[in-house]
Amino acid sequence: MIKADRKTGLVFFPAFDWAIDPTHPEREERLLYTQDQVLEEGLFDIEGITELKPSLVTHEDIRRVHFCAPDIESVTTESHLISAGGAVTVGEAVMSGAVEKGFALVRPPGHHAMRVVHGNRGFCNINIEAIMIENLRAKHGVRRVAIVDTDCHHGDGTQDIYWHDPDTLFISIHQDGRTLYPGTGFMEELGGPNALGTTVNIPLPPLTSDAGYLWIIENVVMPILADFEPELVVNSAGQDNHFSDPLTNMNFSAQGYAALTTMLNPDIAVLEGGYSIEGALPYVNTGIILALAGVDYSGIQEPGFDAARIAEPSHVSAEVRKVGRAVLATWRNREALRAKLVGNHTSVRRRRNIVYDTDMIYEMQIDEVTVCSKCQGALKVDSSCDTGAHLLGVHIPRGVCPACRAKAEAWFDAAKSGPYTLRTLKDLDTGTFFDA
Amino acid sequence: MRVEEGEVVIGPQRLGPAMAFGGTVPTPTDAMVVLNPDGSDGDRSRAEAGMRLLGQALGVETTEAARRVMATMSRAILDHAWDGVAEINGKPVYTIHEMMENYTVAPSEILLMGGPAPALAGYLSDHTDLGVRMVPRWGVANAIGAALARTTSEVTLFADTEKKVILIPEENYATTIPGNYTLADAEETAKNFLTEKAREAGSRTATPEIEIVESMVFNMVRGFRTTGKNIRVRAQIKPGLIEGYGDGLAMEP
Repeated sequence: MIKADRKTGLVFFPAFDWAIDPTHPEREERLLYTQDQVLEEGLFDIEGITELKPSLVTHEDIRRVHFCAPDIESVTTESHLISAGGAVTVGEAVMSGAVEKGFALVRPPGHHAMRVVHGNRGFCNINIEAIMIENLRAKHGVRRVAIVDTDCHHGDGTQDIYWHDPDTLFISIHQDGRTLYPGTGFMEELGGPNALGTTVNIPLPPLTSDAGYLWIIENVVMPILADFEPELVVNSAGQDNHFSDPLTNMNFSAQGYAALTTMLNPDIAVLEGGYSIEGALPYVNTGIILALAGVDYSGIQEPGFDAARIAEPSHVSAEVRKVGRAVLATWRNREALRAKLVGNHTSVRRRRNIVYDTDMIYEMQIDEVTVCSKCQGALKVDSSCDTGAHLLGVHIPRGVCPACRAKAEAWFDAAKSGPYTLRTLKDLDTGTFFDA
Repeated sequence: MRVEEGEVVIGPQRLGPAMAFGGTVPTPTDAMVVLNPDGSDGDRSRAEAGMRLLGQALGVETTEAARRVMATMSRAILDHAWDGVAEINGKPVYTIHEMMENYTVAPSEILLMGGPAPALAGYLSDHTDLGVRMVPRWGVANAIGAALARTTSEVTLFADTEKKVILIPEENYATTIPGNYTLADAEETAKNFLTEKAREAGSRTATPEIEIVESMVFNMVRGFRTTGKNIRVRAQIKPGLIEGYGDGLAMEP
């Protein structure tokens, strides 16, 4: 009888009756072959690996993270509530000590969902990791959290949600945005004025393989994590760096993913993308589960694996190291960089156009954050889009200072006479939410 | 049974029959013999000796020791029953339909059957807000149930319309199918197979009541084209009573 070194809880929710559409990569059978593999390999028979039933998240859970327009019901389905609920279920199991490690194998994914939600972008509606983290912060008093996003696409939604939060370290390792959706995630994207440096982007060139990817984890990600000293490490475990993935151009293997998991040693992993549903997912997921539980995974090999064919060209390895060294240098210089870039501004504005590729929605967004040395700063978001929705969202962070609270409340009141279809206030300091 | 830190501990090892029936260590049966000597043909004096031993360790008299045994036993039985309910309700499901249907078991009454039912009923009532009562013919209800239960079995069928094959792995059965085989065809095949299987297993019903408990069809996509369907059907003979013993069966005491 195989016994897990670490008690590991899995939520497996394949949502066999939900798809974006029948031939979309995010379709019913995406996790079917993974389930077959997990059952055939007898993973649930391993002592110490248990399957947990997901709960559904509440509207309050969603409101801690998102501003939804026109409302939550219009931009979510049951499937999203269960998927986020699965992440929360493993998070709670880890926090309560019922298990040491947790893995939410759920769909649909969430890491492209930003703070404002008008619809689906990059197959995501609501950000399942952020909803889990904010739930754990509200209910278990967790403060410092690190998210390491190993999906092949830039985790632009998670980045957006934690852009202004110095207590959340967000590291995204992905295929270079010049070659892949969503076209962002460059090294220069470092976070807002109160959190400059705690957003870390590591864009890797196409054809990066196990060697380069693991070099980055060992030599860049681990030292940054050690500096940050998080209470909780969450892995957004997308599996589309795999050499067989139909949407991307990387050369990672199942063994590589398992080794990454061992090295990173996350408390919680949450499935994100990965669309090679027969060739990669069953093997990569098995590898991640065994690595989390501390069970030998050396026997896992996916069909079509050929070490020579996916070996990294030397110019790719050189580029990977160049990127890694630059990221690390920026991280170590973040305090000085913040002083220089922020200067004596008292607030900072951004103006952005955001495309919802799945739902074909175009959003125009202007946000403004107070620059504050005492708290994370108050945030105002003005978002309009071609659905006709025009929302004004005000975000009051946990531990807000009196000056920033006063500013936030003044913004909200002043917007009364504005052109908005929805004014929404999110006060994480008191845990209250208000719509007008 | 033994006493640990002032509390009665039952099991988990079984160290032989009750003292009332020739054993050497007191058991819950001894407690029941002590409390209701007319309800048992066990040796009352030996049962009392057992409870006296336990009572000395607990610092109470013999009858009180027996009552404490019954209380401990009742709590343990209820804890296990509620764990069972939690396990059923916590069983993972894999579709939104099942998740939202959210079928939960929520007992509204506790029914007892088996030999110790009358001895236990009152003590169980002390530890639950639910009503507790014995089923009719509680002493033999289990045996009647076993005798009248329908012969049940199940089959799981996998169909792959790209390879044009169906499989029923546990029956070691495989055959070819046309490419236009559908989910309805698969359900029909599974039902026919199950009827035959039940007949071979001794079912005396020509047309057993069959239910489809799982029925799924997935597109198989290669590249960006649908190349076939992956169909999975699980059918079972619905558990119940043998034909002729349905609603009409008199179960009054």
